[in-house]
Amino acid sequence: MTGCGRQTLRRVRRAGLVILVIAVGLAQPDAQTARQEAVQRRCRERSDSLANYRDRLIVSAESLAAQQARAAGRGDRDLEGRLLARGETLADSIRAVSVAYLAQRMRCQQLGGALPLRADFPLPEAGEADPPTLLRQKAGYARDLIDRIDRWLATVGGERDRLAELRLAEEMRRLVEDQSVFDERGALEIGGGDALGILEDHPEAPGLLARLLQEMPGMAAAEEPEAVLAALETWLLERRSALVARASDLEAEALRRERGP
Amino acid sequence: MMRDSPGPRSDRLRVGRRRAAVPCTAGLLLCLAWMAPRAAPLIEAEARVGGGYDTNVYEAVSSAREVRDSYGLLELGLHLQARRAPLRRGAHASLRWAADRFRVERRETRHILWGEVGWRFANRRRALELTGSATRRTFPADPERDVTRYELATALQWRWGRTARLRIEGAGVFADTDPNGPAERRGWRANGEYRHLIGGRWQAFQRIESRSVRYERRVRGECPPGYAIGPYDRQEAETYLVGVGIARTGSPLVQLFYGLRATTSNVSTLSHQRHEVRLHAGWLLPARVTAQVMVRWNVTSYCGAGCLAVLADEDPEDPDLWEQNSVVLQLRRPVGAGVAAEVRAAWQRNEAPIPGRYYEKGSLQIALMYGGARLP
Repeated sequence: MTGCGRQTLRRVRRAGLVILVIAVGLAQPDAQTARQEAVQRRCRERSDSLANYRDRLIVSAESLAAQQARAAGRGDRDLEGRLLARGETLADSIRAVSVAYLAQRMRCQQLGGALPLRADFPLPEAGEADPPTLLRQKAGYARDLIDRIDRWLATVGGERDRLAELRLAEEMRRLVEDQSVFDERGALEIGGGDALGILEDHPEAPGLLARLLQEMPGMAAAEEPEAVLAALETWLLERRSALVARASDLEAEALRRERGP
Repeated sequence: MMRDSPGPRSDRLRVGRRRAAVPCTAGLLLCLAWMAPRAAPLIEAEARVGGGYDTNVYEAVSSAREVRDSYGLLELGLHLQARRAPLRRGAHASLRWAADRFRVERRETRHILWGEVGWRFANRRRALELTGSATRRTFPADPERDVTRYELATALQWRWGRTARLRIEGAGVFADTDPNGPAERRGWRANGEYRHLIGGRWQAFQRIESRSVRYERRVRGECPPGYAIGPYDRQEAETYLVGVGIARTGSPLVQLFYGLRATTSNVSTLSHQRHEVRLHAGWLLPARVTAQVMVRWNVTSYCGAGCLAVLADEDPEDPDLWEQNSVVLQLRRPVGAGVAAEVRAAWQRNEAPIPGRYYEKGSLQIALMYGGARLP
């Protein structure tokens, strides 16, 4: 190639690099802030959507409970049994949606820097004038909350496992795509490559929580739902420890007040 | 002072434009990636930066001629998914660009641009997919090897709950394999796959495939006395595949496939039968590490005897022509903020452009990846 040719090439290449730098420079300003605002907004929308869904499920459960009570009043054991089974299914859904809602709220609060979720698992307080029976009721309430946390922990654990499996399947799909697109053979092949439909045939479809998270617009891998669930699990475990300690304290206080000063 | 003649000058400008296209595309992708969250929440960006080492850069058959070199790697991608989960209806588009640059062997430095646009119409039981894709592979230091490939595919799918699925796909492909000449190939493929649950997390699947390829090229033959080959201006091949497999979801994730492929070519010495085994396996390991293994193992027996069909100009990594055996291992771990670290090791033993001869190569690649493992 002549010196002139090399010079032309150098000029063209330099022009390309200048365009690259300008493009990066143009794209940079305010993008971070705009992205954070968009994520916050989407997070709130998802949270509201989940809360509405949970409320609708609760209304359905209440209606079902009323029907069940009427069936029991009429002595219709068969219908009562069927309604009970449907009620249990509905209760599972409510729990799953509640966990999704909590996860979402927690994520929004983490994004906003606020404290997470104290209101959802309040620690019962011993009042100055509470009689021992009331203190024992409060200890029982704390133990109920512990049971609820245990059920939610099981749900969150299951969802985390399913999401991890989905991630594994997606990484596999991606590795196959890399091999067929970016390996040299991919540019030539007439055949369909190695794509074997790994994801589509995942029989253990993600549960309600994962589906809800996915149905929300813009829920992408970059937002790491697994990490959100892990944070929720950690918080639930911490709350569980606090409730165990509080239940024990309330029992001890009830015993002390029974014995008198 | 001599002035350049118009011919070479326009050639240089063409080369220059081609080279400028790389940073321009990178700039465009970066720009879109940064603006994506503001512009449309359904756009996802990804990037991979890394380096690797290749033990046989030129795919030499003789180990004495093997050349080793290290390379740097950059990939950028954008994905637009206007879908409605869980049925994943709607349009999607992807654009990926990748470049790897060898430290010494600059002739092997290459750029790949891949784009895909697709639509999916689905209800709970049926789905129709239409997909168009294009791949542009360029070697800035060796434009003779540039390839442009286009594919148009459609697929129909029926589902019976979670227990069975039938998928029928058809596609037409055109590849221009020589930018300066009439070397090209065109073909079509049709395949069907039926999957059903056989218990727990295990599925079984059966696949049949038919494909036809027409190559616009001459085939040269080396024959012993008494035999003759060609010359053929157009090599044509028909291929049929029948295969079965099993798959397991969850961890470990397993896909094991065995197929028997029969290829009939008008160049009789290129007709062959091939046993194909493919294994994909993945595990979830502690600390959010995932391990993946891909194994591809072929055994080919050629039908024609006596002659060797020599296709010296063809790419040795062309799976439509040559037997390929490979093992790929990958370890990957998210390191936060959407970034994952990955190590990929690969070993290949592929058939060389002269049927029956093989070359081996190994590679190790370490990279950081942002995005790139999108949940469905």
